[in-house]
This record gives sequence, C-alpha cells and structure tokens, in this order.
Amino acid sequence: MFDEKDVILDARHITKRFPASKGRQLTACNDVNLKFYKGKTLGLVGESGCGKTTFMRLLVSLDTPDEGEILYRGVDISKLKGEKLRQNRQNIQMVFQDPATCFNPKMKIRDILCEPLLNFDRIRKSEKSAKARELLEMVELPGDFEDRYMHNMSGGQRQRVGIARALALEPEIIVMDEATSALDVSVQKTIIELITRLQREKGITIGFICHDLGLIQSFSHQVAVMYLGNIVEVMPGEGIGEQCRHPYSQALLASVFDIRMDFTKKIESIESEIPSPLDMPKGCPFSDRCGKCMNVCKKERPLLKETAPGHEVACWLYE
Amino acid sequence: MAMLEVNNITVSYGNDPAVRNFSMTLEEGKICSLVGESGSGKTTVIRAIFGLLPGGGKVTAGDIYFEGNHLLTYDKKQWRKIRGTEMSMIFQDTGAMMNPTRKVGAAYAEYIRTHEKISGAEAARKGIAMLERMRLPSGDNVMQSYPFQLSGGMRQRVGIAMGMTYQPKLLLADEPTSALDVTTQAQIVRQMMELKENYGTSIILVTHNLGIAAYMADHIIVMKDGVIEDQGDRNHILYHSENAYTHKLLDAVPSIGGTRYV
Amino acid sequence: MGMKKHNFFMTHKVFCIFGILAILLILMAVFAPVVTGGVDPTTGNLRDALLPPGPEHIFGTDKMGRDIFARVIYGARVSLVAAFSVVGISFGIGSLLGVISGYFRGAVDAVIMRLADMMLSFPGLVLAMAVAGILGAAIHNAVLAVAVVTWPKYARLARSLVLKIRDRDYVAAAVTTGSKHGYMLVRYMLPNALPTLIITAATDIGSLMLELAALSFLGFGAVPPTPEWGLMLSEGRAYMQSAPWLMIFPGLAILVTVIIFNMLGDGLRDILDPRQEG
Repeated sequence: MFDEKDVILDARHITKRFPASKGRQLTACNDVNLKFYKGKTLGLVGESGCGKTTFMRLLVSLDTPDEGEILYRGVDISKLKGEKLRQNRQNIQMVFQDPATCFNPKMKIRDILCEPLLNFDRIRKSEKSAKARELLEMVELPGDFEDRYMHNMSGGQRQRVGIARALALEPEIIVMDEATSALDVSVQKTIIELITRLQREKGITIGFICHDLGLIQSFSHQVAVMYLGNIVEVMPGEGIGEQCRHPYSQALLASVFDIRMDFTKKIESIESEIPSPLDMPKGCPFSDRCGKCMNVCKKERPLLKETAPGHEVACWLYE
Repeated sequence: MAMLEVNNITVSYGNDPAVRNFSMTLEEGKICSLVGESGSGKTTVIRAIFGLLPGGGKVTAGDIYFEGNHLLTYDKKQWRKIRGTEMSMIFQDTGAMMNPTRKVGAAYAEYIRTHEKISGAEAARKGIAMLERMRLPSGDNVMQSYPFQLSGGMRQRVGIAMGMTYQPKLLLADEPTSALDVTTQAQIVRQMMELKENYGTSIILVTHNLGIAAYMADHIIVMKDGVIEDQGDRNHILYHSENAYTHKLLDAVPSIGGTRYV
Repeated sequence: MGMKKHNFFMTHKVFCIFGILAILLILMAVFAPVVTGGVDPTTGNLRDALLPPGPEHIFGTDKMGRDIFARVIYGARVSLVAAFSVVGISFGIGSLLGVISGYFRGAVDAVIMRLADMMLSFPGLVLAMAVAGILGAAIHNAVLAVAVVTWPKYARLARSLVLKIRDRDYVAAAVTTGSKHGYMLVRYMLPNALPTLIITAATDIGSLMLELAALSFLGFGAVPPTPEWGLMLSEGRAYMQSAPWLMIFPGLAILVTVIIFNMLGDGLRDILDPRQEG
C-alpha cells in the first residue's frame, strides 16, 4: 500500500522500561515496530498508560530506548550523542499537548519562534522580526503577534504558534502529542485543516497521538493501535470504522460515541479495568480482558502479521 | 409543574452576564444535555441550579423551581437538606475533589454520616452496598484505598455512587467523562443510563461531546456565548435543525464515516 | 517619567527607605576618613584611655585610648566588606553548582549534593576554629570558613528551583528545538532561580554579618588592632560595668546594620516576589 522506499522513519523493536517501586519495572514500550512514510500521517491511538507519549518522546530524542533502534534515513538516531544528536533535532520536531505550558512565559512570540533558528545559526538576530512574521503568516496568524507574549492568546492561537515553532526548522517529520485535545471542536477543525494543508504543501510526515478515533480517522493515512506498550494493529486510516480486526481495536470502536453511530445499540463496554503496566499478563497483553481469549493467547505473545495490504494485526485469531 | 423549572434566568459575575434568558424544564426520569464550547455558559447554568456559583456569581433575573420549591430563596440550611438527598452533582474530576490523605471509605462514611445519624461501621457498610449496587468490582477494596490508588474511571464511579447514595431525583453531571479514556467513558455512560432505568433519576448532563449527548439525552440544548442557540431531541439536532451554529458544530465534530481531510 | 518613579516609591516604600539607608551606610564606610575627620582608628593615647563620651570623643575612647567613633565608622568597612564577601562567594559558588546539579542530574547531581551535605553538617564555628588554628586568626579566614559552610544552602535552593521547571513542557520544547546546554542554563534555569536566590542573599547579609562578628568576638576572626565590631565587643567585655560605652556603640552599630539589611531583603522580596512570575 505504501512504497517501501518512502519509509522515512523506521522504529524497530523499541522497548523502554522505567524502574518502579519495590524493584519492579514498568514496561512503557514493548517491542514496538512502526514505519513512517514520507508525506503521510500516522495516527497512534491508545488509552492512558499505553505508552504512546513515551514512544513519541523517544522519536524526538527526549529519551533513549532500552532496546531497539530508530532509523532515520538509515541512521540510528537513538544512539546519537552530543552535537550529532543536537544536529539531528532539525529533522524531527514536536508539537506539545498543552498549549498553556509548552511556551516560556517570559519570552515574546518572536523569541519563541526564532529560538530554533538561532540555535542552528540559520538566521541572524537582526532578522528575527521578519522571520517571525513569516512563520506567523504560515499558520494564518497576524504578523503583529510577534511582539506579544503568550499569555494573551487563546488556546487555538497558541497551538498555531506551537505548529509554527515546530515548522521553523523545516523538519521532515513532526510529532504531535494530542495537539488538539485541549481545544474546542470548531477550533480543532481549523487546526486540522491547517495541518493537512501544510502537509500537502511541504510533504511533511506527521505522527499524531490521539485518543479520539473519529479525529484519527479524519486525517490519518495510517492508524496504529497501542495497548499496554504493544502495537496490536496497524491499518489504513479510512479503515478504522469497518476493518478493525484486533479484539481491543474492536472494543475501542464499540466504546466510541459518535454522531453517526447507531443510537439504538446497547453500549458494550469492557467491564474490567485497564491493568497496570507493572503487571503485564504473560502472553498477549490483552489476554485477561479479551472475550475471544484462547489458551495460546495466555502463553505466547502474538507478533504483528500482515492480513491485508497495509494491514497488520497482532492476534492469534489471525495466525 | 415539572420536576425542575428554570425560568428565563440571567446569571452574572459582577456586572458581567455570563448566561442570559435561559429556560428549561425537566420531567422525572428524563435526561437533558447542555452542549456547547468553552464560554457557552453551560457549566454556569448547572452550577446556578445547584446553588454553587463560584466567586461572586449570582442569578440576577428569573427563577428556578425544583419540585415546586423556589431554589433561589434557599438558605444554607435548606440547601444542606436537599443536596445529596434530592439533588446531587458529579464533576469532571471527582478524584481531585477527594482528600488525598484520607481513604475513600473514610470519606464516604463521613459523607453518609452528615446525612444520617448512624455509626461509622453502619455508614461503611452502607457505602460498600452502594458501590456494589453500582457494579463496582471489589467494593471493600475500593473503600480501603486512597484516591491516588484508584484509576480516574474508578474515582469517577465512586463519585457517582456517593452522589447516588440517597437516590436523588436529580443528578447534575458536569463533564463527567471528559477526563476519561474511551473505554472508561463507555462504562460511565452506561452507568448513568442505568441510573435512569433503575432509579428513575433525571439527569442534566453538561458536555462538549455531541456524540454522548446524542446517545444519552432525551432533550439537547445547544448553547453559545451564554444563550440558547438551538434545542430539541436527537433527531432534530442531528438531522433537522436549521440553526447555523448547530450545523457548524456538527460539521466540526470528527466522526467515523465523516469528512476526511486526506 | 516622574510619575513612574513616584509610583515605584509609593508601592515599594520599604525597599526604597532601607535601600537609601543601606547606601548611606556604605557611603559612610567608603568615606570613613571624611566622616571621622581624619582620626586614626588604630592608634590612641594611653593617657586618653576609657574616656566617657564627650565633645572630643563623641563615643568615648577604649582601653588603648582609641576613638570609638572612628573605630565604629571604620568598623563598618570591615564588617560590610566581610559580609558581602561571604554572601558573594556562597551565592556565586552555591548557585552555580546548584543549577548545574539540578539541570544535569545523574552523577553530577549526586557528587555535588553529597559535597553539599557534607558541608551542611559541619558546624561553622568548629570549622572557623580549625581554620584559625591552621592559618591563623584573620577576618579573611573567617570569611572563608563561613563561606564554605554557607554555599550548600544556595546550592540546594538553586537545585530545587531548577528541578521545579526541569520537566516542564517548555523546557522540553527548548531542548527539542536544538538548544545547547549553556543556553538552557543561562536563559531558562538561572532566570527562574535568580529572584529567590537574590532575596536569600539579601536577607543573609544581616545574619552572616552577625556570624562574622561572633567569630571575631570569640577570637577566630579579626585580630587587633583591626576595628571590627565583634572584636570591639570582646575587647569591651571586661569594662562592661565601668565603661559601658565600649560595648554600647559597637553593639548598636551591629544592631542598626543588621536591621537595615534585613528590612532591605524584605523589601526586595516584595519587589521580586517570584509568585507573581510564570
């Protein structure tokens, strides 16, 4: 479905653990394998504690994986250090979740926008004002905002500045961590339209973390479903309504309240709680909550297998 | 007279009217949902009904009748009588409302004892019974836990259980599912629907999630900038409304099977 | 422009008043020869010993016949220079190490904090005695000793202020956009820590001055014939009943100076109150 030669970022066997109390370990990411394609959007869906934020932080080198590699154009960026690591940051940028906390409150907008450029000597200090205006116009904000501070801006305006900042270095890849969750739905729409327009114009690859299945479906080329640190399914973006195969993806879908849903259906919710990532069940991570659990599911963890072009599922039902 | 009648109220903070000309009625066993974006006034309305307006907020015009009683004239004593017993409220983050240094059981028992003169042990038993009736797994485990040991969903369900202990006629829910995961949201929605089915509780649900509002509510009120923009049942709002703002909202809500931008 | 200055004064009365007093104090110390009319504080005529305050010697004379007024004024030099030195060194070294510790964490943090813990648990007095014993008693040795046991306070404070913002999103954002460590330390960490550290330093001047005076009083600091207030108190102890002015005036000098700098620190806190910032 996607061309192999368009793979721009390849995460292989990524595992990240954190020490927890009493000598236990919290496995945030467990053997995660994901490919990002040039100019396409990959939506990462999962509930709290599934490890999606940890994974995204690994992609932007805010943390290093315990196992595995992250290949950007063939180079393992997870092993870079020092100046090489810093130089690589120009290739992959991040838009943060909470527009209220991701900006230094003491800096003016032009300082915020030009900081990345000054860090890499791409502009001179005298050019800050002009460059800031350019970036603001790109995200459909008035150029005059460059002289303002962030605290007078609305959530939607701030998020636009966040996007402008991420684009300042013209990276090939942008990672967005729930970048629209804190916004009103009408504002969210304008942000999504902006992002998709910029993607078309600049060929940017986007990784988008989200919990809203409807949103993910509306602008992702590919969707990956994550559960307890494992990728359980990867499929084409438009397929999320009909083509979910993994029991967890199906459960997620069944739990969604959507204005186009069948309102007469009874809510099927999984009665149990999401287990803590400290006590991951042996075998398939979903085994203790799955309605279709078989014996093999409890013993061995299923790996991602392709069931249709562009569609992979990690489930013994499809082996 | 309907169980709840809100007649043309205006709610102001100082000189600023946050909500204007708001009216609604609610019959027994019905669910009404207030939907809108930030600044729409939906939270102000629900807090005005519960008599819990923060910092200087006052109902400056209109009146609110609950079971024939004029709520706006109520003093502290009268409010204490009906809050928790006739009328209850649950919030977006019930967990944050709980004292983090006390066990859930202790807080719940104390809550019960402010309404009834019974012993601590009796109150604890009553609490566990309520948790079980709400189908919370392992009720006594929950009672023995501190709030931080429970998940957000669990805390919310405990909050609902506490609010429902005396089977109030009216439950006010202020964004009860916004801070929750998708699967937990479904559990809470189901729980609230069961309240209506099993206890005949009326619910006023404030939410920005149109999908949940459409699923749960008998009547939906769309608010914008402090006034009512549109109202009607699910069919009207989703399919037959001619209101421009309603259309804008419906168009903006991402939906599976809806607009694709790529 | 005049209006702005007037408003500043009105809203920050404490800071302005005590700021002016502090400046006067400093000027007085700087221009000591002028203020004392050229009197030498270190020499005296034994014939004039223990004279009560009078027209010739407004604060009287001490047991060596030295003019106490001159000694009090010149003593301001010693005390101010010493106190500012201690604060300067502790603040400078402590803040730097604390910010580095909090920013880099890991091994660097562990080493610096263990060093700080070691110094914190060392009683300043004992260290001053040891230093005096090894290097001899002198005001600059007392300064050294007190600075060595005071820098950990600044280090821990700086570190905790840095840790408070270390994991904030906007710090992560600055890192992902390629900021270098030096830049992060100077533009992000320090500005967040500086106001609180400065307030601590300002309010410390008074108490450190007292500590130094105490050390001199005990003989581990300034030595005769240096005019130092603590030393003067020690020298005057024997004459507490017969010639109380030997202790009264240096004592008053300490009191007034400490009050001025404590109030200045309070006033500074009102201005720089970090609660008002991000």
